[in-house]
Amino acid sequence: MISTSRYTKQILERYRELESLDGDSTQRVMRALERRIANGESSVLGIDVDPPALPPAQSTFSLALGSVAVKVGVAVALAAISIVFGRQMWMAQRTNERASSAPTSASVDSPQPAERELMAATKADNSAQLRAAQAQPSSAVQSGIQKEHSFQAPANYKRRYGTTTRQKAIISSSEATVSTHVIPEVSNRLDSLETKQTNGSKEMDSRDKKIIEEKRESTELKTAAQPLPRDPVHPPPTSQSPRGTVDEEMKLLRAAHSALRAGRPEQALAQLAEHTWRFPNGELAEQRDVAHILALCRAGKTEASRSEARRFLAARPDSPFAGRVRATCAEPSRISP
Amino acid sequence: MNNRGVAQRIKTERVAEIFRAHADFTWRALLRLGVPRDNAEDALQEVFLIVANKLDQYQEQGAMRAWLFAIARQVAKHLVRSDARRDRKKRTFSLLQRSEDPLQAFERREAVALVNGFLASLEESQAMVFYLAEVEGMTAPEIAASLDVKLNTVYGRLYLARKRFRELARKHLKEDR
Repeated sequence: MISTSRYTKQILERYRELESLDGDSTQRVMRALERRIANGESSVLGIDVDPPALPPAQSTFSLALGSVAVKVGVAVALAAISIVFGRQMWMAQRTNERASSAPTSASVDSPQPAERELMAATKADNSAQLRAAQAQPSSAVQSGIQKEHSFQAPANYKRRYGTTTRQKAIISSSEATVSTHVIPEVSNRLDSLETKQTNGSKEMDSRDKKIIEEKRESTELKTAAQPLPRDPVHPPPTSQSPRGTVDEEMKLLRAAHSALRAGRPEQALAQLAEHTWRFPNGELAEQRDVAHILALCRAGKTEASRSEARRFLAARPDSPFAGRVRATCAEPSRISP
Repeated sequence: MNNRGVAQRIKTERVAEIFRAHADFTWRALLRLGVPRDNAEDALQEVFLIVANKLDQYQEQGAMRAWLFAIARQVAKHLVRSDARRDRKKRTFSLLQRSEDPLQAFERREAVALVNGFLASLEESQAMVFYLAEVEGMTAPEIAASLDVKLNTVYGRLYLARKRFRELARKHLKEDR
């Protein structure tokens, strides 16, 4: 089993792997930019991001001087604190010594200042003084109010937290719309509609689109823990909308790939069959099909692999995996150019 | 030529200069942040148009990459959000290179999903530190200078982000077995 630190490194390495922008694209974007700046255009996305605010430039000399001043200041402050603190400690120690040497129970018998005041007030029977002496209980009430205030902070937090859970609910509901095992019927229909949309034509009429949107909305509402309106100011992050489903798909595909690598194509085929069963039109369907062709070939089912490869290439001639599929289990005549 | 024209010209030149120096960095950031390959050039234009409009507020202190990354993050968020439904399938392959080994492609796709999900879960300031350090390989003093924060803050954020990332990876590994 691979260690976490190595896995972390691997992930970041894979994330970094990317070729750079080619010269043609650079030129193209450059020309477009010059034209748009000359026309005084601004971003069509309506986004504004201020540059990071930096302090006014400082020379290195003044910077060094400043840091020296800070260090000296800190040292002086530390010394002052230690002197004051040491003195206090010494004083406290002395009072302790004195208290222990004179074991009178004065502190227990003598009333506390507030109590003394209260007693005096009752004696004088002066309501005004009484009120003054009751400052203590009233301050207790005040501290109670303060406590209430401090309780408001968690409530606020809860409210904030509530929105995030709400967002989570919306996200999870949108995840549910694509996960086939939660609502197979609706999502299957959605999938077929969507493939129609991508395969069929771009000029699908807006009514169909609306129907898809409505179905999505309705399934979202049905599957959400509680039907909540969308937050127009803070829409849920949809960048990874079907994350849960894709995670599931990935898990299966990863298992299949590691079985393949370990030389157990039969096991890989089983994993892939499960993927086909659970996610017939999943986001990783194409990758699954490629892996299936590979696994069939490794399992010695050459004919099955070839016929599936032919079907794959007919359905997806533009697939980024086309070359690889063509080379898998290919007949000898096809390998040689 | 009037004054406005001259100013415009100077601005264009400066943006062109910045573009030449940082186009690669920005383009990679956009792709990594999930912008479909087909839209990446348009997104690149948007990033540098935003730069052009705010150039007066920019001070030369090596903070350019941090600023560009912050803009790229916003642009990517915007584009990915509006394209999420239309281009879901396309997006899957936005990072794929042609005729790549399927296993490699799959692993890359997985890494991108994991890291992007992680970056999305972080606060802007922390995401920025993590990206600049772990992906672009900037040093902590460089990042501190470009984000105008103390060096210790950078180390602190990076430490926390790395820890959280390790936890995520560990969870991912465990689920895997």
